[in-house]
Amino acid sequence: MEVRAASLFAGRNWLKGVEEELRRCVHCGFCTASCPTYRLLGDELDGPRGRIYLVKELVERGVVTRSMVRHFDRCLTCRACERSCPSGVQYHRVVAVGRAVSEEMGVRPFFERWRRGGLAWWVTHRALLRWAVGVGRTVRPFLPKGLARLVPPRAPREWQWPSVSEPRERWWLLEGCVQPVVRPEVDQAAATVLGVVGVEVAYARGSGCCGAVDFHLGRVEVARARARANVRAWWPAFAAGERKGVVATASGCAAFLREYGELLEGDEVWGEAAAVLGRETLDVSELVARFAGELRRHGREEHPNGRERRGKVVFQAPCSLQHGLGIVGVVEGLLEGVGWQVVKADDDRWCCGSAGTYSVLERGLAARLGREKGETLAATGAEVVATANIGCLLHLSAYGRLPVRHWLELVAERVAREEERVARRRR
Amino acid sequence: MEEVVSRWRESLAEARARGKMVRVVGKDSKGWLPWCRRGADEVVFSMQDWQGVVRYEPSELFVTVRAGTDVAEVEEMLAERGQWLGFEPPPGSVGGATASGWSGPGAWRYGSLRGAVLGVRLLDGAGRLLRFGGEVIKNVAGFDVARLVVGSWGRLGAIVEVTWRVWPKPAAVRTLCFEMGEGEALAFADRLRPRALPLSAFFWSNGRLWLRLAGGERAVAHGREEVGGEEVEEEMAAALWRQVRALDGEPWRAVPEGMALWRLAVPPGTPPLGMGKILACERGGTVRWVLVPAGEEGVWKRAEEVGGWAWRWTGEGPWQQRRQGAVGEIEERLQAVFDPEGRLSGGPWGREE
Amino acid sequence: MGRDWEAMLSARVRAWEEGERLFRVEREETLAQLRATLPREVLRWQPEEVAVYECDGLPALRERPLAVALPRDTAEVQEVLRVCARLGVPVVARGAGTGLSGGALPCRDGVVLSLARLNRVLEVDPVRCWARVEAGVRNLAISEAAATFGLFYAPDPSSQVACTIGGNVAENAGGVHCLKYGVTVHHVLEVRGFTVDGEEVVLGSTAEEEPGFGLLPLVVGSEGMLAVVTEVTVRLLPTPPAVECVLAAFDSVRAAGEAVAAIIAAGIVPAGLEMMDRGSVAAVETFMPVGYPKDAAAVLLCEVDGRPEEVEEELPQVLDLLHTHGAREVRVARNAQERAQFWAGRKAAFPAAGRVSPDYYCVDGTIPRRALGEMLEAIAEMEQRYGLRCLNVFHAGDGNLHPLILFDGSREGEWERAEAFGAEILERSVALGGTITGEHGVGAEKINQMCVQFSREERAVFFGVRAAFDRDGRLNPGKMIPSLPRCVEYGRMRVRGGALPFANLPRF
Ligand SMILES: Cc1cc2nc3c(=O)[nH]c(=O)nc-3n(C[C@H](O)[C@H](O)[C@H](O)COP(=O)(O)OP(=O)(O)OC[C@H]3O[C@@H](n4cnc5c(N)ncnc54)[C@H](O)[C@@H]3O)c2cc1C
Ligand code: SF4
Ligand code: SF4
Repeated sequence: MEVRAASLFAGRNWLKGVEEELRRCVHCGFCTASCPTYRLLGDELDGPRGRIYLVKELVERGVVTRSMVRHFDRCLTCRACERSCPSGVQYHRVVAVGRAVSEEMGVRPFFERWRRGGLAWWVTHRALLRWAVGVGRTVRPFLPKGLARLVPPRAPREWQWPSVSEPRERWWLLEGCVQPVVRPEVDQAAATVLGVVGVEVAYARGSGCCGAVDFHLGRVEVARARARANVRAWWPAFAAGERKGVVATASGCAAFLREYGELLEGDEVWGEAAAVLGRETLDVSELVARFAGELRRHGREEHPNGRERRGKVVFQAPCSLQHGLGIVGVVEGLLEGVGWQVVKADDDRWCCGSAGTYSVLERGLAARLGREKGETLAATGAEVVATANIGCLLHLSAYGRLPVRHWLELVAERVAREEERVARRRR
Repeated sequence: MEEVVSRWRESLAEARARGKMVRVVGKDSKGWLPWCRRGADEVVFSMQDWQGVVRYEPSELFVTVRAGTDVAEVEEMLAERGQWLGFEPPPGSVGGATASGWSGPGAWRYGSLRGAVLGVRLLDGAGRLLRFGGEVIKNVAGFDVARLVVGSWGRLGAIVEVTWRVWPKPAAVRTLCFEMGEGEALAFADRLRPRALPLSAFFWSNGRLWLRLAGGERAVAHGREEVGGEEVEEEMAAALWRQVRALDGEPWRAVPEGMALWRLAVPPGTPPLGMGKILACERGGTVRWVLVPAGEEGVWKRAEEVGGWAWRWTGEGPWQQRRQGAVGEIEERLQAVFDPEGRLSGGPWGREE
Repeated sequence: MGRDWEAMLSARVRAWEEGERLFRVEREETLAQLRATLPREVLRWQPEEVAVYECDGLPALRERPLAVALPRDTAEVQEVLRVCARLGVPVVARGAGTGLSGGALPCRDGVVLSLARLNRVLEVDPVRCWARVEAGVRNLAISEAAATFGLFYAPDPSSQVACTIGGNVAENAGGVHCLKYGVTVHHVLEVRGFTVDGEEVVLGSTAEEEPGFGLLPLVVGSEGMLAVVTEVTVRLLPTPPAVECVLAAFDSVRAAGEAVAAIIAAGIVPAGLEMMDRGSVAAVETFMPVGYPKDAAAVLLCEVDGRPEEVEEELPQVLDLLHTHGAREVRVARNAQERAQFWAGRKAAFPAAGRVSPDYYCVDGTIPRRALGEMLEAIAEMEQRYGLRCLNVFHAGDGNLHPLILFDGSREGEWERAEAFGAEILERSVALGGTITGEHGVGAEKINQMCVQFSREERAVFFGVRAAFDRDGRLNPGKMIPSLPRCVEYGRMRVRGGALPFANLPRF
């Protein structure tokens, strides 16, 4: 499509990139079919082609309206549309510009701005969040159902960081914001599984939330500040060759870290380092998969002849994993490797509706998607749902019928049991 | 072509001058049907002499023929190149077959004649020579008037040339016979429909079901094993299908005194209608021939109840009901587009005032 | 030549204006009335809200509508139509907006009526072998719903993931499997909908035959100009138990074309027979590396299906014919997954052109297969003359060509050049005994070429047919049928441009 940008935006650093994406779109409409919000709402403005058009409007006319913003807000940023676009339009870049510019031009009424800002603030401040979750858990029985759903039910267990003697590799582990508060078990599982194959992970002092939450709310500057802080914390050990890179246990964060280079483009101090680190970021599944061969023996006890599988699990691949990072089939392979039977659900390309803060800001849509997803997952007859991102985990727990775990936890349990068995035999 | 056009215009002028209607006939092979009887106030326009194959390209899978050409002649020519008309039009002229819209037993597999028409040339009631459609299988330029004309019985004009799609002739054809009653045969059809079998025709009459298989040598052999039944000798089978195709033979031509023959088109899966005497079922049970006492008008309603429609085959008209409401009005207006003066007659709907 | 592009463009614009002058409505007043009668959830009118509806899959033609209506059920569709009838507002129906001929191009003072929310599969009947669906159901969704019963819906346009059955009916959509299975008109049993005045109509019949005139085939392919379709009953076929797909690479397009003719001449009707030239293969391979040989001049995909015995019989014949006609490489898909990949590449071929060029213009002429070589040479010559590249994708089995003309809409004059290039291909198709559109429809795009393919009297009949359904021509005005002044104008321009020396060749 042709684009003629308004003079207002001349010289803006995002302009060239977005123009390129807009021109790449040939308006074929293939993507609409893969968009969850279009399916629910039936208005093209709530589909990728329409949102791309809105950004085109914005870029060409230099005007942002409330209704444009509403349609940007409704996008899950699940990127399913990108996977089905034959023309290679990187939709997430387009919508990011739409969001950032509309935030900048300030069309939201005060209350909304306050609500969104507040949400980002709460979610990304671990201490605050920990307190809130604690309170929430105490008063959970008295909360209205809608709210109660969002409070994770279980109190986190105490856990220890496993020590790895003579690690063959060392990585930084992204600490993140929500996960360490509501599910610290996930990182523990990561440390356990990686420890078994001789990989040591650690949090870096001074690092924290990756910035995705702020970025997707259009608060680009805040996101950049967070990214800078993280890069500053990781860089020295990485540059010295002590740490091989960064690994994240939430696929949403991993996908966001990958784009640090672009996020900090033009930053004189950290720009280049961010680009390098971004490239050296892995989702934990990628790292574990490198040692899959060694892990596999850990499932053996479960199925002595190597064939029989115990336990039925359905893996709901987060959008950030399958569409964002393009990782397909890897986790399933790892689960099978340790003896789980992995079943496939219908419509497994659809988003569950979590999409980070979306589940709070667009409750109605998120709930519909969550309930639908819960039904299709339950229909597989699996006993447990595995996923790879904390947001999805909470959302699926809230709206689905099956227990939901991070896949690492499932792998770690089998691995730990096997380790124990081996140790017992040695004794 | 000029000759036909001017003759047509003359007929129209003559009819206009004498306050008459114009009826188009081909080989008059359907003259036995009550709605094909000529009225005294009609000028007859014959296509009989307008014959010949205009173009035949076996590799393009089409044939273009003048309306007066005998269907049998076309088929002979196709057979030489290993092709055939899968929808098995009735015998008679090509134009007549197209105007009647009838298809034979093969329509069960290959689709109806309407689907097989790629293009027509038409002389309409205003004396215009028009061409719609073409000679290629895929063509969506303009409204599909070529298929609108199929089954219009001369009411929209005289068809002068038709292009039909053709098919490669199947390597093997075999007919099987089963002893079964109507209900059983219909239930059998329901079981066959969703299965990928090389079936090409279905005809039940008088306690016997005839199934024709067509396709590759081995596919037919396998299909035969799968469906069972008694194999019918080739010549006898061919004679049977010829008869069904021509509606020639007892059920259609020998209607007892005081009775009327009806043809009902019903959705697949419709159970026996339990009305009058069932004479035959065709095409997986979607076409039923029944005998009811003459003057019994309940058939219209019964057909409607099951989601189909009825066609009276003998006796006095109207032989088919025009659709009501918005659709009926559209049909009337359409007719006026092609026949602004209302000079063309024909068809089983009776004559509008 | 620059003059002529201008003339062509201004002629088009004028004709639209002509069509619209009939319906020049009081915009503010009408909008107020629409807003007063229709619920907010159903109506969009703000400029940015209607923007995306300004075009379909042919973004070179754009027009912003007065408003967009998004009814949620059949009753609301009728309501919208009644309100528009009362106000005398033109209506343009829209499905998924994947059309490639500007069929769903809005009317400036009109309402776009989107059927996308009518997306329920109402019934799949495994015994009667049909599916009853609402108009906004996606083509592929029908086959997906039928798959559990071992059935499928045969017409499969390349856009099947996205396009709606309503749009398929309106365009009589074809697909990659229609040589053997036929196009939409062969698979639709019954259509329900409304006339532009909101009167209910039922066309066709589940009894497979329709009494009276063939109104169903008339409405199928009517480009949304006769009725608004809300419900469609389609025939389902048993899924063939055996399928084999062959990929063959050739050193020349002509050789590939001959192989196609040979296969058909051998009495084989393959389920699918598709060809792509070097350029389109390269574009597809950048989208999804499906393993098409990139250095081949032409790639042929040939699928045979049916019962296992049939396929076993036909496949060796096909392989043999491909080899004897000079195929350099012949590959049979090893499994269903690889077969799906072969097709996925082909089905994404148009938009994949977006990887090599900002815009593409997809042409849709059909020619007799024997004229393929001649046509390709003509296109090659035109590429030089117009200074634009062209990729070629065809439904080789039925002679339906899709040359994809690459251009950059932001460069001055390129679209006009692409348009004239396309026009010349279409007119050449007619001269070769073919037609200007095989499956994408005339729409707003090929309206000038209708003057070439049809006589004045034939066009008059089209106007009459439309008036039989829609007296004022309020449904999708300005499409498909060119007005007389337009054709006169276009004829004059062509004579001046001299692009087409064979305008008077006998056709048909
Ligand atoms: C990449 C690509 C590949 C394609 N490949 C093919 C192909 O292989 N074969 C093929 O045939 N087509 C193909 N097409 C064209 C297009 O997909 C078809 O024409 C399709 O049928 C359009 O459906 P739609 O729902 O998008 O309709 P739209 O584009 O929304 O509308 C098309 C026309 O139908 C009318 N219409 C839509 N819905 C209704 C309704 N409910 N009632 C009345 N009128 C209605 C509109 O007014 C308009 O005139 C392709 C398109 C693209 C972008
Ligand atoms: S990212 Fe997801 S929700 Fe957003 S437009 Fe794409 S498919 Fe739709
Ligand atoms: S699939 Fe890609 S090219 Fe097509 S409309 Fe969507 S974003 Fe644009």
